[in-house]
Amino acid sequence: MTIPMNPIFEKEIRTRLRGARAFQLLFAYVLAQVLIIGGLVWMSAAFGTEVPLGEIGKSFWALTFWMQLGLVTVITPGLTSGLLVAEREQQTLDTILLTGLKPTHIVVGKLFSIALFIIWLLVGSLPVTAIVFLTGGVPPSEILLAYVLLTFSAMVYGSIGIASSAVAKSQGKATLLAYTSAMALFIVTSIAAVPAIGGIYSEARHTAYFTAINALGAPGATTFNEMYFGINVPAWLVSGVINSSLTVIFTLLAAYHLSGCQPCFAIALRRTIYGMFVAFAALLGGANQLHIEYIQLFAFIAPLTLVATFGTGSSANASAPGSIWKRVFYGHDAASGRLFAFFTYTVGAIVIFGATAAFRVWTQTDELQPFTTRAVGQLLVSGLVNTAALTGVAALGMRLVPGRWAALGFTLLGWATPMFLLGICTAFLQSSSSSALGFIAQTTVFDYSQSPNTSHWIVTAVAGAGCWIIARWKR
Amino acid sequence: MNEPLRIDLQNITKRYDKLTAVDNLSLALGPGEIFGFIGPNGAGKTTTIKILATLLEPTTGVAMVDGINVVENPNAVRARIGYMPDTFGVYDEFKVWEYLDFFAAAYKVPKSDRPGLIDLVLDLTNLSNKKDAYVEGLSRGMKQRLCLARTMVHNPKVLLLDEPASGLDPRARIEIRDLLKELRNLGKTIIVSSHILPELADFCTSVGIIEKGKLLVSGPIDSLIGDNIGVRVLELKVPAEDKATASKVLGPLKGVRNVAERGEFLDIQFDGGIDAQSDLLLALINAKVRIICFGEVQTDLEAVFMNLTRGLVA
Repeated sequence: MTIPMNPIFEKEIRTRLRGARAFQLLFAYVLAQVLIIGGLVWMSAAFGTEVPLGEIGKSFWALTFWMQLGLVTVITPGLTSGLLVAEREQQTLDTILLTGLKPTHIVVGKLFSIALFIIWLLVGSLPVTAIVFLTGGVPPSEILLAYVLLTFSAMVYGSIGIASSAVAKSQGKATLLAYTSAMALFIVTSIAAVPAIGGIYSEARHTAYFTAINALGAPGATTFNEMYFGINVPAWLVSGVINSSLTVIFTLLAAYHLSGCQPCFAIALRRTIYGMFVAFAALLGGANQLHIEYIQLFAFIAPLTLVATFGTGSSANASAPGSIWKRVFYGHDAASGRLFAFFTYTVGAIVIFGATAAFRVWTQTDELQPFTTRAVGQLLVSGLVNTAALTGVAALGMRLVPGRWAALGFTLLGWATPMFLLGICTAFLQSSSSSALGFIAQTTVFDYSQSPNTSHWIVTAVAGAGCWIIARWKR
Repeated sequence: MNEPLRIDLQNITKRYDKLTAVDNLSLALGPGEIFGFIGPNGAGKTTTIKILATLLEPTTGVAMVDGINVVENPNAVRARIGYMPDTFGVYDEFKVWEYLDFFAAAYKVPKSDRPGLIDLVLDLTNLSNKKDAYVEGLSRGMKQRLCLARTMVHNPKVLLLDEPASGLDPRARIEIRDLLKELRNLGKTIIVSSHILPELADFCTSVGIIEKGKLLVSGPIDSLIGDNIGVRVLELKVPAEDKATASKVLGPLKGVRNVAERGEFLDIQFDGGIDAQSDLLLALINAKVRIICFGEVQTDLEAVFMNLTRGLVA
């Protein structure tokens, strides 16, 4: 019996590996590693420190791995972001769709061809990594696991690329969108990887969360356990589950978009995001010893991304008139999108705090010192104020700048920049940041746990209302 | 057993906001028929074909291919049609046989059947000697033929060809025409659109003229030219000084619709019979008009088209 091949997969592999191009890329990939790592090793050797060989091996392994991660993160979105938009620009997309191939098959075939290509690059560069075996200090099982996690990461960035490719109208826009989204995801998840990076250099095994969802934490986090609702879960498993779900979600979104049903896509996107958001909030709430700063960041970033994504776009009221529930989950215009963002954030926030409370009752621990009722309440309020104000910014963005993406950018930057600057000023005034994370949190949302800053709510609300009024001015 | 109509369009209308692209169009075609869709650019040919190809949904009306509704069961329809869009792309980095193999695989043709099938369609489209060439290196006419070969790779009953010969040099055009004739002999139902008339006149079993979304006339070519229209053009050459007299004499005669000057000639639009035509000549001679030349202009599809679409084409 032969396994039925996905024709798209076959086609992509066949054309990608044709000629010298792919092999030139492999050569460049390995060469880049050799040069950079060689340079680092040479530099550290010049300092002539007396460090045990095993420790050098560990550092070397982490360095090689991060190098690979960097290259994979840069290469993958670039490779995938062109795939579908190219078919559209070449006018071959209709022809493929008419063969009866399902959009899912097309997207999956393309994505897997890229995944195979990335694995091919990684395997091709194994000899460089193998130097670790000479120095010792890192068990092969950890190396293998880290590579598996890296492949998962590559799939996420690849699926982001392919989703951008399905959404965007032109090659350039697709690339831009893919890289911005991939970088945003990378930066946000890298915060979670910080304890794992520390873990590489010390024997201490922290309890932390989502340490391996960014492959940055993979070399350290392969031996980590994370505790959710009092249950120990290996970090790599959490990473695997989250990253593969993200991949599936982005892939499905691409397929939905390809099927040409724009409202279906918009509605599916809303429901997926809603489900993910609430699940993520539940996990955050159920996580033990969670820093309040995570939640603070959540209260700023979540409304921002939600409103920017759903609150800009088509201004035509395409949703059928009906109950709020209907508008939120069956609509696909900007106005109901803002309603959706507000609704989703509120539910997410309630779930976080519900899960936290449930966890406390369940485990009968009172370890969660920062989670005072007051701090939690303040965060809930600040998140909601933020969301409400942001809807005003989104409305203004749609009024001022033409196009969906411009409005999205306006909402993101137009809000984050002044808030960030304001945050930095306050952080300096209060000079109360105890950790790097705390500093970031303070510069974005004020540290409500320490100083209930109602004046900030007022500033936020007034700014949001101002935007709203200008947006409505002489319509 | 009664085979269902291969193509059955019933009162199809497609509307975009304000524009009506196709207006209440009906059409029925059986096996072995080649229907030529004629109309100026923007008349609604492509829209109609796209509706049949399941790429667009009609606003109202029912479209059936081989007895299957295109809106209700697009996947079953897709397996039965070969669609060649008016503008299309090919995968340059493929070899010709790989290109066809890819589409055959996409249409779920079993792997063992593909090589024979590919040879067959390549032979049909006269591309056998290019089997191992890269698509990139093919001429435009060859790419067009390759695209045609692609539409046949799953042996569809219906072919929808949107401007298959546009942008080709005369030789490549004749090749496409010969190919279509051959396909007709294979019993396929073909819809082929064009804005160039003589291209179709030769091999279509019937034609339809579409303008502003409306199917003005349709039917076998001969009947279109003869009965349906009925207007013939007679040309008359007389010395310049007799032109005025001739016009005056002709004007009130039976069957004369219009008399127009065209250089040295007078064009008479005439819908009377043969007897009336001789009467016309007799009347001219009686009026002492000196006739240099008198005869019927051969009416072709083009004239019919111009006649029907007069004033409508912007």
